[in-house]
Amino acid sequence: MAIISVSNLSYEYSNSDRKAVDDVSFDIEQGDWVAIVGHNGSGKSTLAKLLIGLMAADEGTITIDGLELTEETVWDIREKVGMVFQNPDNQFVGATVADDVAFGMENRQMDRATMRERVTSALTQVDMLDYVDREPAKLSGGQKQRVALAGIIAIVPKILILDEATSMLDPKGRREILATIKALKTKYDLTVLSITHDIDEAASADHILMIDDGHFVEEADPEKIFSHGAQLIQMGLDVPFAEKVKRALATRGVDTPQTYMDEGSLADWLWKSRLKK
Amino acid sequence: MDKFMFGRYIPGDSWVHRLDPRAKLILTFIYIGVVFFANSVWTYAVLVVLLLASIFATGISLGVFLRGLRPLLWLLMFTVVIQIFFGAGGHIYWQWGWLSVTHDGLINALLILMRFVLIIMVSTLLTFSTQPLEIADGIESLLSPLRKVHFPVATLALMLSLALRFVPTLMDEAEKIMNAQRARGVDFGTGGLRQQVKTIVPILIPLFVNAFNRAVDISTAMEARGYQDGENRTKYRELKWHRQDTLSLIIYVAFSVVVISLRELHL
Repeated sequence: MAIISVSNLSYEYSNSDRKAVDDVSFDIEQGDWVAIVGHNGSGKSTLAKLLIGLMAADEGTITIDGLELTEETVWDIREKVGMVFQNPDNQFVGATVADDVAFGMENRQMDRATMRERVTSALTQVDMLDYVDREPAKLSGGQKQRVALAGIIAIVPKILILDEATSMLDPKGRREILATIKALKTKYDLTVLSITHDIDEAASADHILMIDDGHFVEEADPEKIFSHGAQLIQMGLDVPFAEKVKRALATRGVDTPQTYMDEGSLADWLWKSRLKK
Repeated sequence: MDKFMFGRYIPGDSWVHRLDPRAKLILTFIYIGVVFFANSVWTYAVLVVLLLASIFATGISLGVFLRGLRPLLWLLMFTVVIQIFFGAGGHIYWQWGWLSVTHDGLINALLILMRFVLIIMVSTLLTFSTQPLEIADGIESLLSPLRKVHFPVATLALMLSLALRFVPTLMDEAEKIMNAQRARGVDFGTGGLRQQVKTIVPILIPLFVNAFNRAVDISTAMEARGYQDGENRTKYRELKWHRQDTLSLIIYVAFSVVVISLRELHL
């Protein structure tokens, strides 16, 4: 049974003349890592906000872990979902790292002893325990996002939504945060929904869900999506580095395979192809 | 900005630093209250002794405290001069039209100066030894009786702590905007008053717009993390009242009693 089930979802902003999300349906299985990709303004973030009831959909239904999203169930659904947003500064609520991690727990009326214990354990898991009393102004963007993650682990959600959580980070911070998320996903059997236009982040997902101007285009595994090459670029998306290398080789007359390859398999293919000659 | 000591926090681990912020707030209020009772050399002497002892207990040198006075020097001098020249009563030393220097005027000026200095010093003592966040916690805790009259104490406390948390972030942003506008040819701090006010607009508007966007983002993030309202929450931070807090309170009350009785005895 799917943990997230969306059917015929539509939403239109009041100041807009077209639907930001237009008749979108999809299912996400428990334990999957699904990346939602699309160019800027394709409705990805709107979709994320609809999923946890920050905005009410005009049409369609959203069912999360067996609960249909309505005004009554919205807080129960938020119990199950943790969300990391794009701007590290604008989601840091607490005055210090520990306060920020505790924020979600305070909202759930946990007692102080449990909070202390969980703050320590959550910060250990994201490797930020040394910064427990630090103020946000003294942290880097990547560190702030890790604190945001710790705040979410502390409430033990079933689903983690990343709304372009790595887009304001440097490459190092981005790699670190993705590695942390992967470790957490395995540990807690999380379902991860990452909204991104970082194509390398998308490449590490189990499935990719493509949307374009609010329309659902396709859901498939990364191999299939990235083999579309030219179509991706037309939609304003990028292709992974290995795919770019392949295309560059193809324009120089090298006969490259049609199937999608990641960097490892491309390297394998390259040195084997030299051997054949 | 670095020279501006007033309202700063100076990290440390002294007796005063470790006091409960509620205690420190109450002590400050008591002291400020008692300053207005002081009316003679002896009463002021008692207050100065108490202040110097408290300053000594912070482990911060007196010089740093005096530097905290510097930005307020003009204000102090201004009030003293006004008091000297416009004070009336007692023996007249010098007179010219409206202006006169009299015995009572001089005494009053001295009293006002003492009061000012003592109050500024004791507030500086509070901010030097207490983190802004602790002050916010202390204020929340002291305001908690107001819950009975449905005053939204928790909401106010959250606003206060969010505001404090964003002070450095907004300062950074203001600086970035200023530099960006400088790069585009805006000249800050030169020209006439009109010109200078005009150059503030390209800082203020982006700062406001960004603050609005931030507020939207923050409220979204808070809601996504299960924030419903201020009252139904537990608190991670905790204030602990120790024996030294009670002790300091007793000392301050004792000194206050001494000051008030000296006043009553006309000493």
